[in-house]
Amino acid sequence: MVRVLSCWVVVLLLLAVELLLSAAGVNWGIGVCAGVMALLVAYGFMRMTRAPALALIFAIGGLFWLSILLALGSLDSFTRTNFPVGDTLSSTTQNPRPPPDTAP
Amino acid sequence: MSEHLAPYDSPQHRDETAIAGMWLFLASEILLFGGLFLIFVVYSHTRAAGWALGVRHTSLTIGGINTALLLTSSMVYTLGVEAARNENARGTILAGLGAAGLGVTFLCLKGWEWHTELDEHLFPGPGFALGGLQAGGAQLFYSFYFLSTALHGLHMLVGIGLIAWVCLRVYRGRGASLRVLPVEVVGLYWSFVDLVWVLLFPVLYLIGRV
Repeated sequence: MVRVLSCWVVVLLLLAVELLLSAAGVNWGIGVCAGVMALLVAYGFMRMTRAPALALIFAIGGLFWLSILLALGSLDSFTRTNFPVGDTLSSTTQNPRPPPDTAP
Repeated sequence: MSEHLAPYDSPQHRDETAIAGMWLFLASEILLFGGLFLIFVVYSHTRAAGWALGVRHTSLTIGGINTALLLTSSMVYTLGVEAARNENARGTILAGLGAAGLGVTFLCLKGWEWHTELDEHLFPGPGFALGGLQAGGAQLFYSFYFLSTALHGLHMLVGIGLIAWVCLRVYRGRGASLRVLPVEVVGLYWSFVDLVWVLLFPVLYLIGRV
């Protein structure tokens, strides 16, 4: 009971810290707070450490596939560079530019 | 081996299998909500200004109160699991009803928030209230907002139903030996719904607000 109540108090305190960090615009701090709160819920309320070994394997497996999903899914938008598409794909094919002036 | 335990070796083996099965289900739920968080990761990066415009229009007061309510609900239900372990049927029922009541309050507040937002024309589509250059990003945010809160609310409804079922089961079986396993398995689900909200709250209300 003490463990559950102390987890609850800490999680509520972290919620207050999150709100303060939001007012200060510290986005990375909000993310850290949310992660710690999630861990406390898993530890204090879901009794993660007392779960059978197979349950831990399932939980870790879920987190592993989540990381694959987020990493591969966001890879394109985080690494995309806007290359010029070239004449074959550009609208200039339909409206060709006049050839540049060249010296005789 | 007792016949009624088949195919398990012991009651402990049976209980551990049930808990592991619930965790397997929760792992699949992680991937379901993971798709939503992928939307956040991508569009809060590629449409940062419009996304932040949407975040600034959510109600931080209702979101904050709802987070505290859900954390308290999860704590109360966990105390109910402890009461079930101590063969305290009355404590289990009271904790279950308290947790479900807090869950219903959460849904009522969320419904009120939705009502306000729909009145302000913040549902994506024609007539969307936020105009200007960042309207597209803001509509993306509100698509994510309504989808994620609807999915989470659906999970809340299922959880409240399961808690009501556990309370009824414990009430009907009072006097006999209390079975802890259903109380515990439903507790895992309820705390998971809480955990998802703990991660959704900063995404919907905090990150990018200032």
